[in-house]
Amino acid sequence: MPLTPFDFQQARVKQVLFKSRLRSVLYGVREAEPALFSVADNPLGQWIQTVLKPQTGGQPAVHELEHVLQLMLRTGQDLATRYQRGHLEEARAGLDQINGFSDQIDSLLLNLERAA
Amino acid sequence: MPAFSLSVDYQRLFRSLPDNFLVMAPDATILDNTDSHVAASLKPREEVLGRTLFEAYPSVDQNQGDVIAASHEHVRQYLEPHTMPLIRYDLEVPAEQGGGFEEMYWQATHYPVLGPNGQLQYIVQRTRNVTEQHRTALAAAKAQAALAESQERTIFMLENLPVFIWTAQPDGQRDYFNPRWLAFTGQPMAQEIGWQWAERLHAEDKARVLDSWRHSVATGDPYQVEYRLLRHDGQYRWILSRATPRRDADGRISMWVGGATDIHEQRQMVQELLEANEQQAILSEQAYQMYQKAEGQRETYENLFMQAPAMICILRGPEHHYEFVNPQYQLLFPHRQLVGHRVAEIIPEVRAQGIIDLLDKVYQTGETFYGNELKMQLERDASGELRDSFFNFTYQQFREQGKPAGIMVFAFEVTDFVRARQTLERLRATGQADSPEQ
Repeated sequence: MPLTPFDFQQARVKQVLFKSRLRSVLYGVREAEPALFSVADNPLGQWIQTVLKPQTGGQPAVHELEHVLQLMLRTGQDLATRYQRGHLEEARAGLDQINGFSDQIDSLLLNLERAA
Repeated sequence: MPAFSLSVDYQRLFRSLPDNFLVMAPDATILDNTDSHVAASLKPREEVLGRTLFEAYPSVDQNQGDVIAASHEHVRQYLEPHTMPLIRYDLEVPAEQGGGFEEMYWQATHYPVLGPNGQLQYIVQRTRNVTEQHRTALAAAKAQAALAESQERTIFMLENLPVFIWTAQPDGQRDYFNPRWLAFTGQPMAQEIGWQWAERLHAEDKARVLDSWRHSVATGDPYQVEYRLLRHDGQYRWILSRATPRRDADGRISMWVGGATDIHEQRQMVQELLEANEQQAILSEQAYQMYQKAEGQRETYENLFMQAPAMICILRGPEHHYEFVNPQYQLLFPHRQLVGHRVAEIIPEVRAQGIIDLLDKVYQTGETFYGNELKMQLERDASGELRDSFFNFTYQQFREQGKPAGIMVFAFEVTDFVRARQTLERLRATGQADSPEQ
């Protein structure tokens, strides 16, 4: 089935959910679960594999999307580690970096959506 | 007694004394001064001897001259030493040294020297140039004032910043909490200092917070911790508390200064946002699944309709717009583009045959219409000619969200069948007429 705006909306919801989960770890609202930072378990990562790739396979934007997602997850894990070591402020300040990756992901999704 | 002692040159001795002495007659006429005085007063001796003090060293203002005159008067009257208050007595700078006056401060004492009959014989003035000391004292006073101002500023900031501030001794005992903290906990300072503040920590947080604080006190690592603190109204609020050690020149910790902020709302917002986002993700996933299911069903039905060996179309809305037409139906009107158009507009010939009225009625009442071998006159090609066509069909209303949405048409063309029957009937009728008695 070709991709619709509905599919991309799903992807955006999933990426906001990741930011929200990470933020809640860095504010001590939730414990960090290892699955939060695994590409295989990340909802957006799963979406890329199961929804996006079958339709748009080898496009460079898809590879870039995977790459930026990996950077975002790795950075998120670093921030969670900092938080666990008691560097609360530093960990939260790092959310800026996450926002940067998230903006990149949004713009890649938008380009893919326009091309779909 | 050795003879050399009698030959002391007292004037030379006097002039060589390492201090500023000036000898005057009781009327202030200058009789002699020491070399030190000459040097300090910046005036050659020969210019001052025989002149009064006031002529030789003119005052910069009347007031200072009066102070000196009053001191002289005291000595003359009481025959006792008199120390003048510290005075500013600027001395004339010789023209060759630039001229003008040099600002100087003096501490002068006038001593009476009495004659054999107890009469005042001389007034000896001992003057110490205290300009340097005075300037140092002035600078110290200024520094003191600046320090006091700086301390007041600091205290003002500590007491009025919209954050909690506390300090602790190197051993970890807290020794100050700012008024904002005290207002929050509703406790006096005496109930907070030392380790008492920890009594207002939430039971689940207390051990962790104290461990962290002891660790920082032991290692000097910055202290950063979040915990629930009991507010004066009995509510626990989340607090972010941080502290940094202050070290002396040897690197030893001399004190800790800590700050804390109420992050309760912030934390609650993060939690609410997370819950909202999780709910949204679930809903969105459900909607997506339903969409996919509906889309799959729609495709299935569309395929069924497209392949069905019957004429099927869907007319949407009260004006009967063609929304879907299967190939069998389209074959009726191969020259007309039906989808998107109203029936009355694209097949105008049916209006006069009552078909639109029929559709309107089905749409409005919801009563299915069954047509049985119903005749219609349709233009079935681009010839402009209307041909009789017979159909078995149903007009069936469909509803969406409880309201009429359109009509589904399901039809078989029976023109050939009707014609064959009509022919047969005609033949029968003819046969009966031709051979009535066979």
